[in-house]
Amino acid sequence: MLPDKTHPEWKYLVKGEKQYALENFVLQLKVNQTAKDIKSGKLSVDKAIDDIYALCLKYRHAVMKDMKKIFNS
Amino acid sequence: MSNQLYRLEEVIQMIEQGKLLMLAGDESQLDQLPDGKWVGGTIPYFMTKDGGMFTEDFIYVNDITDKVTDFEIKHYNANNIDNIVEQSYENGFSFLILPGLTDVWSRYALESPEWEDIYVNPVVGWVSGVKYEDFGKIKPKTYAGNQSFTDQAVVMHAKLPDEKVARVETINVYEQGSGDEIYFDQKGFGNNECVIDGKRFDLYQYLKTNKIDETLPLVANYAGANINVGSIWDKDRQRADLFAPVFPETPYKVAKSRDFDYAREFKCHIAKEPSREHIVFSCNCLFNYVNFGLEGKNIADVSGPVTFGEIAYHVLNLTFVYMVIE
Repeated sequence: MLPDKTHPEWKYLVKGEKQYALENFVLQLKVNQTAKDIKSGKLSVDKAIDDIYALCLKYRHAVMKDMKKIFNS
Repeated sequence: MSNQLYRLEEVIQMIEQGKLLMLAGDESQLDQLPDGKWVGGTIPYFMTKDGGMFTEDFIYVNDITDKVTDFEIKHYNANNIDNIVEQSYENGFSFLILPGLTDVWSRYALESPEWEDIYVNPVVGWVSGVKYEDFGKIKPKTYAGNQSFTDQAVVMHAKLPDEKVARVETINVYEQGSGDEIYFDQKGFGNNECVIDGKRFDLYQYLKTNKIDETLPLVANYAGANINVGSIWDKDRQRADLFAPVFPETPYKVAKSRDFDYAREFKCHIAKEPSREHIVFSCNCLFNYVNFGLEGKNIADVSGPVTFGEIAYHVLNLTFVYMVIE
């Protein structure tokens, strides 16, 4: 079960505002992309959260350690 | 059917049996294969359970017949390679082979990290090449069945059962060193103009002047993922030719020195993979093969082609790439 999309840590994650030492490869790449695209104005924070949430749902087992790091921090 | 090297006759038999195959081998072998449900690319270097190996007499086979529920084989040129993402299945993966040093390779490497949906489904694969001595003389090839290309990427889009998911991971033994941050104004492969501490430098001259080991890659940190850019120094033209692209607003550093045992380091990394027995594809980089002397060395029983570039969504260098279906 992933934390609700309204949890403030999602915002920090997609904007790259906190360094979480992520381990899952595709999550690392996606966060790098959303942070760049939000900074350039190409992507909204809400859409970035939707995209990363969907990715984490797909790989919910593989991102479990990363989720703990992000949401227990 | 295990993923390993096979003789030509054995591969022909598998194709005739209707197996769904991802192949790697020398052109002299792949050119003799009949049409069928396979994609392939040229390379004569491999990781095997008997160690790293150069051979022009065998073909490496990944048989995914029992893993997927549907598939589609396509080929793309530099003008339409961006269709690869939208043409993938809703749940599956796209296995991609790019012919090295071509326009389609260049466009995919430069632009794919910016495509909106690139991370929805795994794009995994490798960059085809040739024997090191033939580099620049013979063109790397790709194959969609018995149709071969020197200028087109081939893709096997694969659909997975609903309860399965494909996951791509990497093992990169390199990490950023403690040296200068190197920035590039333009994205590209040919950039030798860089900015360090606000001053403009020629990359080749900077590396040479600072007595940097030419086998060390530049490394960028993508939210924790170390992404390598390898280079070959052209001493006549005084250039460092990059084998993966660099991007603006991204700090690169020369990797930490290579004073470690690759096999030991690799085993530590692969031991952390919980689905190791479900690896359906893996490949390693020719730079690693050469720099770490992997010929004849078994590395944790992994196998696959040793390539001119690895694809884990992005085109990478000096990186072991693998995909599990779990």
